[in-house]
Amino acid sequence: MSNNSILVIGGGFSGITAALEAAEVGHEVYLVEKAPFLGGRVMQLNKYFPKLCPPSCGLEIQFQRIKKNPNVKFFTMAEVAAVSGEAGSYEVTVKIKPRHTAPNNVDYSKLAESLTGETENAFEFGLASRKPLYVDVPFAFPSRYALDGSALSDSDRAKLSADETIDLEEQEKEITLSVGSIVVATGWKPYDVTKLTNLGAGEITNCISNMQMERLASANGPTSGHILRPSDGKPPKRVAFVQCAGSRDENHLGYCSYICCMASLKQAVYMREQYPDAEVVVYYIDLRTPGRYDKFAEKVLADDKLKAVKGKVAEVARDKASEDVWLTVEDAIEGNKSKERFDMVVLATGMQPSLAGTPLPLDVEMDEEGFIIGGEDKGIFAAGCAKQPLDVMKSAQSGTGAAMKAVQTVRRR
Amino acid sequence: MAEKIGLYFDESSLGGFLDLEKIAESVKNKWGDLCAVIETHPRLASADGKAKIQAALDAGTIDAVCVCGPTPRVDWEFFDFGENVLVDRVNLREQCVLSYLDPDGRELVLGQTPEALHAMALDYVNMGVVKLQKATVPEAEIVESVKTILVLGGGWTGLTSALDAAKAGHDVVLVEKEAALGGAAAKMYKTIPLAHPYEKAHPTGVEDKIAAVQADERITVFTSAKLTSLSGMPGKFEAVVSVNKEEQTLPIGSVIIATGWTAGSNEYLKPLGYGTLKNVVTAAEFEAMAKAGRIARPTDGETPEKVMFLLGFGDSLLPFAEAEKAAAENPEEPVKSDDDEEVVKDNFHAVKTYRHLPYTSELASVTALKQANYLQEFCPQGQSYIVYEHMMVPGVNELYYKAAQDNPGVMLTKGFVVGVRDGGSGDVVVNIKDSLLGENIEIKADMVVLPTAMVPTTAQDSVLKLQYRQGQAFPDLELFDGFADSNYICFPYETRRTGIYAAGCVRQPMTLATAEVDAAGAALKAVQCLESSNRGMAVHPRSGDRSYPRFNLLRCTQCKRCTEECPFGALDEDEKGNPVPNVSRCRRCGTCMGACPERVIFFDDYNVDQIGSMIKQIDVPDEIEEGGPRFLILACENDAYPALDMAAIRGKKWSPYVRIIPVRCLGSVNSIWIADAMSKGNDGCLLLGCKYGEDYQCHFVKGSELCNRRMDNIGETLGKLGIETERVQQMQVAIDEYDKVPGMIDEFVAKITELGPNPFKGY
Amino acid sequence: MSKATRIEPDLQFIKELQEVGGADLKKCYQCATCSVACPLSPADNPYPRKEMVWAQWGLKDKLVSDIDIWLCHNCGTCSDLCPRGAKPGDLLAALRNMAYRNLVKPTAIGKWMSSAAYLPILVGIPAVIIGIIWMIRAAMLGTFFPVVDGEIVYGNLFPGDFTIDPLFGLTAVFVAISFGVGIKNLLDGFKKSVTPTFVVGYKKPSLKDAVVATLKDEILTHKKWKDCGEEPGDEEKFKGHLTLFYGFVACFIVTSIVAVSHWGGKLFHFIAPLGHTPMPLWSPVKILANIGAVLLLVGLTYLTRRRLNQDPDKSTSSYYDWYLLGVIWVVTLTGILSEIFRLAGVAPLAFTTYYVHLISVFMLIAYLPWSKLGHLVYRTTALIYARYVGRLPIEENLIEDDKILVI
Repeated sequence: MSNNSILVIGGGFSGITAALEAAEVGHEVYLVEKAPFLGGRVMQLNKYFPKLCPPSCGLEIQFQRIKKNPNVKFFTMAEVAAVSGEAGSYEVTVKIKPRHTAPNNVDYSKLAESLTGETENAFEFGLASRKPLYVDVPFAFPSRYALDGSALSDSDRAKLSADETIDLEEQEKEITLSVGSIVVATGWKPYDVTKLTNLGAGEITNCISNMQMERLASANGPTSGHILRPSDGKPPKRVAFVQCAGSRDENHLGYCSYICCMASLKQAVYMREQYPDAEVVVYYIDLRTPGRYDKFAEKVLADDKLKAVKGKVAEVARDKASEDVWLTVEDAIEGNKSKERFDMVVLATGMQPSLAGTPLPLDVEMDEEGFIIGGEDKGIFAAGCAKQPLDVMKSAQSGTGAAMKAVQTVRRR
Repeated sequence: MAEKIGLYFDESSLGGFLDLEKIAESVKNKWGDLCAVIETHPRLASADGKAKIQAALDAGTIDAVCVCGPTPRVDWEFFDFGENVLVDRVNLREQCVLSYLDPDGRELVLGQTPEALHAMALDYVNMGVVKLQKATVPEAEIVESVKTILVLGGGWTGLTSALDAAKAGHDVVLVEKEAALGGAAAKMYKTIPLAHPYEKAHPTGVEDKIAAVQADERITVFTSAKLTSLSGMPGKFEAVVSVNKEEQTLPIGSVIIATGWTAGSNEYLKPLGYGTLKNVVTAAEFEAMAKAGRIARPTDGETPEKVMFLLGFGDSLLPFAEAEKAAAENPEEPVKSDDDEEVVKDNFHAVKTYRHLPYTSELASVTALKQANYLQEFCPQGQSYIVYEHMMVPGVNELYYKAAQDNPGVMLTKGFVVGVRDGGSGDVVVNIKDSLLGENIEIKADMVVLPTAMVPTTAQDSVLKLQYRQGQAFPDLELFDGFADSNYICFPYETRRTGIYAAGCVRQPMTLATAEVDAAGAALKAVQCLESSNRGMAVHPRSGDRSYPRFNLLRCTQCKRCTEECPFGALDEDEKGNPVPNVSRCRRCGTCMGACPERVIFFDDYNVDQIGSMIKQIDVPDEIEEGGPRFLILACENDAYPALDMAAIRGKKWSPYVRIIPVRCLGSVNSIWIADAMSKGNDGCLLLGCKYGEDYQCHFVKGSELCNRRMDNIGETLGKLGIETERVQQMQVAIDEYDKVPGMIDEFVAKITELGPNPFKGY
Repeated sequence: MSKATRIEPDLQFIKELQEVGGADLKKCYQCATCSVACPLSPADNPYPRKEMVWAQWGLKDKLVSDIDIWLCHNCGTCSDLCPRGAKPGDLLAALRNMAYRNLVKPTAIGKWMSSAAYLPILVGIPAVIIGIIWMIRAAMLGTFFPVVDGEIVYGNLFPGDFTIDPLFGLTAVFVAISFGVGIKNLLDGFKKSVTPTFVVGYKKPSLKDAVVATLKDEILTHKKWKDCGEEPGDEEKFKGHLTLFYGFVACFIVTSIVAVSHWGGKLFHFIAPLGHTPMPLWSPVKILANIGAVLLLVGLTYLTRRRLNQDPDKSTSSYYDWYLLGVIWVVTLTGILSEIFRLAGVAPLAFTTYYVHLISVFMLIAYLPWSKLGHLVYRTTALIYARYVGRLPIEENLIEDDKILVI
């Protein structure tokens, strides 16, 4: 029998958008997010191009919409375990991992500080460590701490078991949802730099990824927004951006990741705003600033301390003594190849679909890269970067479009 | 109107830093029966806490709930008692205890509450109580909505939107100005691939869309038709469409504008040889030849063997850029539309700019790749040269780029043009600088193809023909060079005219594939809007809000401020000049309420009296020496307020002498509030709002900017009262400036404190 | 670079290039990874990026006179890193193949070398000539497989004096002349395209310096080549080429001794026995010959195995590669088998094998200037010239500098 509700897999910007737009048409929507908090990748960004406005600004509105709308039911730390049925009536099994903390907002900050266990902070891309009891950022939604049991020391366990708001014994739950249509908005992950052997394979301390740069520039990041060299915490004076680090490359990601050129120009602005005398060089194959982004590119490139060079960096090396980074690149216009020295280098690493290597228990066609290219006939619709690389605005469009398709599916029956 | 308020304190979040009994005591004394229940709960945000409150509501002992604990931004799910129960959340944790900065620099000690902290908490609780007292449960104004959606434009996007809306169960009226459907897509020979594996260009398939639209009984198509007037409001629009000179009036629920683009003026291509050299053509002209089945040189009608696709403009656009810059600097010579019969009227300004050419870069690049491959079809030994500055094929189209260049006859290089000249016998010689071939080159081609700029129809005509008091067109499209685009990255379908959504190339230059998605999105927004109106709910950003501005017209002086300032053009005027509200156009920001000097505009749960009364709850000591100064902060609830929360969570503190009141938008701030605050002896008033200007972040477009403009009048008022104008200031705060905002507050406090006490103190 | 050069793309040339090994050249999007990846490519106007764009645009003139194609040892690192699978390494190989084909007249031979279709002609020529000799001698001796008192002496059937030596002698002269012409054409091209440029502080080398350096760094030690690539395949190729090279050197020495002693013996009788064939197995010359044969076998095995293990997405072997490998295989195997059969006294097999041996040797030598093996002359010429004009700096004369990649 047919069902009017819609399942959205992935609580990033595309997923939230799809969920809200469908819910505000009057449909019951379930939003399933793997992480303990909603927001996905944009939560890790400092600013959006081209307006250089903070992502939390739009997210605040989205979260308000979620709070006010009883049609939206979201689950965090939740993953789709099984799907059965057909367009119009799907049975979806969702596994929900234990959060171990109180159902309401408890200020655990002091308690968390006092814990001794530490793990690498994946949200900060390894630029910081994390306590077992944590929220990614103060803005996190839901603003409830999550407890990573695996990271607890024995003393931590003792301490926490004393706290009546924390339940160390909480077990994984399983729920079943019946929905008529499914929107897959599983988004993307930064391409694994260790695969970029000729670009340092992630072993050069001051050769960071563009997502790490976002964290360094974020007020809520490991350096409270000050862009500093990881090796010595010194302000970088000369920074290079290496475009297409993994993108447009058959050996890695065959497509163009859409956002990296604009992202690097944006990050160049971060640099120039923080360090008025710093030099920035962007090494590119093509500077892709489509549509009205042209205006932004024009403005940024007018800066005489910012140079854009046509040529792909194909060799990155560490300077043992200074921890500086050497780049080898051919300026294809001048036709000469040179080694250049920088305090810090940012790899504009591309986006890889989250589903690459880890597909969903869902019968939809995917291309060789892991992007979803089918499903419409089954009432399953991909949104945002699960479908193809997009920027935030286009992801929101895509999320809204997918919501429309889902609504049609559940209404037609 | 709340009469029996249940006042609940959450012990767990206030952690013993406040003397809750003492507060309860004074509240009881002050409000008596108004606070029917005053309780402290060990953990209010819990099933038990919720049940207790629900029980009191069911028993009828209380009719409204005031929760004193953490910020209202958390634990919402515990304090929702249905749409008929007013709930207020008093933020005693983040913006009181956590951010408390002790005047004498002492640390907070459990069980001991400093006087300043108690005073602050008490003020906030009193504000909470009176806020409820002055509010009533908003009753929605339902707009009996027409379910029909009007789609303007019968091109690729319009057809898709129509089909999507119909599939969602809505009737559609499709209006196309041409005699035939299909728009630009119908003029294309082929499109770049629209789906995986993105390798071969193929026919657009627009014919199938047209057929589907014509076959769909839900869709009514008007060709050779034009929208001549659109009045009313979402759910209740009235569209007048003239179908070959005959006018029809149609009831419409919401509107999708997909009127697309027209080819840009060729004057920008002159420096590239267009016009002077006959065999320099545009991509659009080349496409037409391919569609007609033969590529022919204008001079001799021969099929060219060597064709250059020139994308690298170099400096050729510079003169236009300078001219436009100059024109912008002295606006007495406004940029005129090249279309003569187009008179610039009311709020519509034709936008004519060379920028449309670079804005089309992505389309120009993929089209060049596509057309370069056409040539081999019509001339097997043909050679296509593509000269680009940046091959603008972001995303998956990279795959098409790769496939398209894998053709011996297609040659590409980066570079830009430095000269185009006649090569004799119709040939064209192009000089290229900074090529990748290691030198400056010149190429002799039989024909040169230049990109076609996409100029949105909204840059040339008001299109919507709105019968709105504020004018016929979308306002401020200059911001987007005439594109009917959104200023919000997160909300691509936001427009300043509720119920009207843009899709396709009228919004941004885009490929057919993107337009298809965009069309579906716009269709959803259109459906959503008319259905929300039908439920009496606001749409984004205050989605679901039932409150709406009401007008006490008896006291209206027809000053027109509200009708002029509404960012969404929700208010029209009757012949007497009274505001005529259109509820479903309204976004509930309250800008009208802030604008009204007579204070005749109010929301059930948000009004001038309410906030005024809250301000009165600030207990201002007669002497600064005893009890310190007082400052009112009116904070935008969307950005500044969350920023303050996060500052507190991050351990930042600020002066205990400020009292923060969230407002829907600074646009809703009525100057009377400030006058009241100052005349009551407050030493200063700080307004924290969003960034405004070209890249404004205000979710209500103009709120913070309008408020800033009103500051002048406020200044005057203060001057009359003999109060230094510095005592009232507006500052711009982005939501992520939580590390800055406490400093801004303290700086303000320090500055004002230097001025000494407000002369009105003690009166 | 202010003056503009008229570009005249040659579509036919592009297609030819694609046929002789540059099939994927159109995929290149000019990111310049290859130029950086190449360990040998110089800092100034590095290759192979520019060759890729020239090839895409069919700029024949630029490419045929391009010296850089000879500086590449085809380690394939550029092709491995190429993001578009355009295989720059293969393109440079293809360009060299084009050179073998077009440098010297009669270019017909070049054409014959370019495809298996013409193999019958290439085999036919020597087969017929030597076949005729065989017939005549058979008629004279009354047998096809003459065995003189239990001993098989190839000289009896194919006497040096009047048949084989003159044949190969004339061939050698023809080859020498052809190479002369080839080298001239090559150098003329280089002179057009390469303007001598020397890095600051660099000591301009004399022609002798250039020759010495080339012999030292390239030919005798293959030292330069060592810088090429890191993969096992590259190691295999390096070893293979080196052993093969010394295998040839050994055989060359042996042949020379035989020739010199034979003809010289006619004047100075005492040296005649030195190269008298068949030689006893203990003869140092014979030992050297056998060592040479073994080296050839080893080298061939390395190179063949490498080509068979190539990743087709990264680089592919052209007909030129297989032709040369094939001929050398035949020469080597028939050479060894002739010796074995001779010692074993199996006349029919021995003579037939030797016949094939002669054919293959002829193919190896006679078509040299048009075959891939021609590189031993052309590449050497290019490498010397490159050093002479500073395109390939001689390390000893270089100063280190960050901005200059020391090759």
